Amino acid sequence: MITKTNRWDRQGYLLIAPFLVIFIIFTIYPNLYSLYLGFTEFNGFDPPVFNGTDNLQRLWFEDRTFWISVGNTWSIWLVNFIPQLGLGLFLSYIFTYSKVNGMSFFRMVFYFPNLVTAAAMGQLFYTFSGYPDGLINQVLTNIGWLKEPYEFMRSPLYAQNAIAFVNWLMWYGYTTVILMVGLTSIPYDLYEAAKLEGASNIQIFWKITLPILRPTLLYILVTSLIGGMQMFDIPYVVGNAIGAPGAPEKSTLTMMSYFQQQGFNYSNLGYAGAISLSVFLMVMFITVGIFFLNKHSEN
Amino acid sequence: MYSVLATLTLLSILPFWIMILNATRSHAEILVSPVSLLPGKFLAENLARTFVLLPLWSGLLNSIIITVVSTVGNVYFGTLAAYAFHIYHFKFKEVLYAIIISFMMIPATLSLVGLFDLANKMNLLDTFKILIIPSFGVPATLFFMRQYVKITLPLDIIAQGRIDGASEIRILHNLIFPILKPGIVTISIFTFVGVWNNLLTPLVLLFTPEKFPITVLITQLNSDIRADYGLLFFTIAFAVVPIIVMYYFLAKHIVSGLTTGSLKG
Repeated sequence: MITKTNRWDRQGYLLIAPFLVIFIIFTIYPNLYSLYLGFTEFNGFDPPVFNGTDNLQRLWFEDRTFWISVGNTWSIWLVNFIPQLGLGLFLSYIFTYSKVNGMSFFRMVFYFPNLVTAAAMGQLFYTFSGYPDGLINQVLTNIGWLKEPYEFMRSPLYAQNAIAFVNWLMWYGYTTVILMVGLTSIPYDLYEAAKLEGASNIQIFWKITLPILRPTLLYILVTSLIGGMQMFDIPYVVGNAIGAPGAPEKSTLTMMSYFQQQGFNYSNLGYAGAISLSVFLMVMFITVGIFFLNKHSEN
Repeated sequence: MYSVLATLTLLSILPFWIMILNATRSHAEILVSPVSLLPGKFLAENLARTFVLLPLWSGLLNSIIITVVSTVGNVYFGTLAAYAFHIYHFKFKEVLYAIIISFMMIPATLSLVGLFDLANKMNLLDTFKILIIPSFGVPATLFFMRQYVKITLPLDIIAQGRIDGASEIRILHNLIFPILKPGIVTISIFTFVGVWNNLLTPLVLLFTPEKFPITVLITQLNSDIRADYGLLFFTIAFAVVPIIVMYYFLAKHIVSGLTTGSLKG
């Protein structure tokens, strides 16, 4: 059997070239340049003026709004992620191990929200939460739980958790499908052997299922984290609808919302660069930390 | 257990059901009863009035153009490169590959400021080109297709093609692409959905409302539209229905693509 060619055929260059050229121009260069711009003062049209770590210093040590956005991003993500993972585990478990009628129907239905444009979901649920006559207000007053309509979206608590809820709705199906892939790779004999040894279901779950699911869980955690830290669409839509980015009371300002506001509403592109750099650093550190912890506890 | 499943089904479908139904009703009707079982008769009127307020048709067209061209280019050039990485050997091949793949971990938003400036310098701000071209060199597609090529490609076919005297490129297009079709379909769907739903990039790089894709338009709901629930629901439905239609036809591919794709994940 003839194996892969050992000569570097000219036509091979041709095949990689388009990809590589575009990648270098439109991915490598912008990333590096963004990094550089984080250390400049730049409004997009005049040449950038290097100002060292001024941006970062201001951002990390003097900018309350930035840290508010950090907290918002984290709390929205956590409220979204933990139930998402829990529900995903539950669903994938019952789909893999018990006979559920209509499983493939359920799977298709649960995955659907993942495909819908996040901004549209945000608008939809914002509309439902409308005051005084949005769907939620109408239903709750009609059945008597509320005496009169409540301005839900004026409450920072509601706004943040509504965003988390929409995110949860969008991603629980995806998480379930991914977990199912992991679960179905566990050979059933392992369970049978454990049962023979008298292990209880809970012991089986903790000692067999979870450890084998580790790579899958790790993948879900890291991808959800990276995505969550960059959350933009829904908070942007909610803030816009209320009239100010981050409304109400800055509770829906995520790091990326702040980035967009600073860079493209206020033309502080250098400062925005510093913000995206900070997000990048945060994500990198945490991801590396997670991998590190994972390696360690594997013993 | 089934009650949980039923509740989740409701949560995942009902909002959209209501959205579509309300798009066909008038503001007055919706105020009276927020939910109804039957569609109303106001679809045409809602449509007409909304189109005056927002360039929805051009939004849809823009989305289609940007997304289709991006997806075709993304998958085509990504597959070319994946094939080349798999078949050919050259110095630093794996190093180059590692560098490209490492960029997958970098949050996409880091490059936005730089991309904005680059687009500015190239006079490509407010064009479709700057939205489409960068997607021709995306590491995730390269990664996925290289894995796929590794798994599915029988090398004898290539050898046979060479013996028959075909050029490498003809081999690739006539022999290889058909074999790779399932993988290509999968990655195309995911690229398509990703580009279609992208908000931040077009928001930052485009300025003319007539050029906005639907994702950006949906964030520009002004007070005229918000004042009328019929119009509001119609607009949101306009953005979501194409996805529903697509899902209706492609659901099986999508879910199976997720499961096979993540075996390597």
